[in-house]
Amino acid sequence: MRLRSKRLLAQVAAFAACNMGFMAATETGLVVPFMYCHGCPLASFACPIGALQHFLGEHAAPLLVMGLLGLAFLVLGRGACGWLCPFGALQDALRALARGKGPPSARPEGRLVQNAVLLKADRIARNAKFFILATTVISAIAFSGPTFCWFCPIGALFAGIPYKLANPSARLGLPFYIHLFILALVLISALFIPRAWCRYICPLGAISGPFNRISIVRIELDEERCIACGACLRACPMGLTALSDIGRSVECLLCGRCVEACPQGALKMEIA
Amino acid sequence: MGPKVKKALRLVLLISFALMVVLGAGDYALLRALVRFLCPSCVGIA
Repeated sequence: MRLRSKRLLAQVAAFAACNMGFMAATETGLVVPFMYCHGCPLASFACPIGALQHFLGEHAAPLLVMGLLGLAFLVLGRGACGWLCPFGALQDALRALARGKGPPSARPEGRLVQNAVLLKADRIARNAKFFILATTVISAIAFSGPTFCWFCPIGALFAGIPYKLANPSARLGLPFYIHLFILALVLISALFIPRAWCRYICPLGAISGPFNRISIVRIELDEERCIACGACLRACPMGLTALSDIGRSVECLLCGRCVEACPQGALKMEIA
Repeated sequence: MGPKVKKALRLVLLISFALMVVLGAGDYALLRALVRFLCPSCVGIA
């Protein structure tokens, strides 16, 4: 089976697993290693950021949440974003829709913008997710509440909209429309910038990214085979710009598109 | 980072996270109560 098919299968399976809460037996007290709202009417797992804020808001140590996430990231690195996250899969689908058909070389994903100023702005903007993570943690403690959830577009997509669909007569306040506006912004951005949410905003990516350097699942480059053609970097949805960043940078999703794109077979996904 | 350092770091982190899971196991019921709880003010349905 091709890597692309395996990834799609994993994304569908993860989405299905998250929505098994209609059976009492499959409703768990565990968190998933990707963003998913536990307010979803069918949720079977808790959202890691929502749960983290809940415990911090109660001024309690989120030991179980951090332990479970740590174990998952130790194995997967940021691979859960590339292989499991339903919101990531949605962004991939939107980008594929906007990109249209054609040979991969004609529709490069990496380095979409060749303008040096915009590239620098992109690099700086990527730090926003670390700032958002810090703000999320501090504000959850300060306001004793899930402050990130007040603006989270994933909550709108997986919980707010299904709630409204299930209860058409429900009265909705301004926060609902703020959520919808942010969701629309993120989804429109994803049409033009691959994985825009993951690049700039996702606070969970800011936690899982640093694990890429030590994760068990990894991408290895065989330097003897590499002809430095750049096909891997052109295929990268996160716009990595250096070979040395593949599999190691906090930005790498370990999605394996570089592995698929390499004409020499110089890149491999490994468990080591 | 050398392979030995990486393996040592992995082991230390693995033990730490496993310990956190064990110590935090009591939170399982709390987390389970969160699942499918739709915070009204969070998604603007208040």
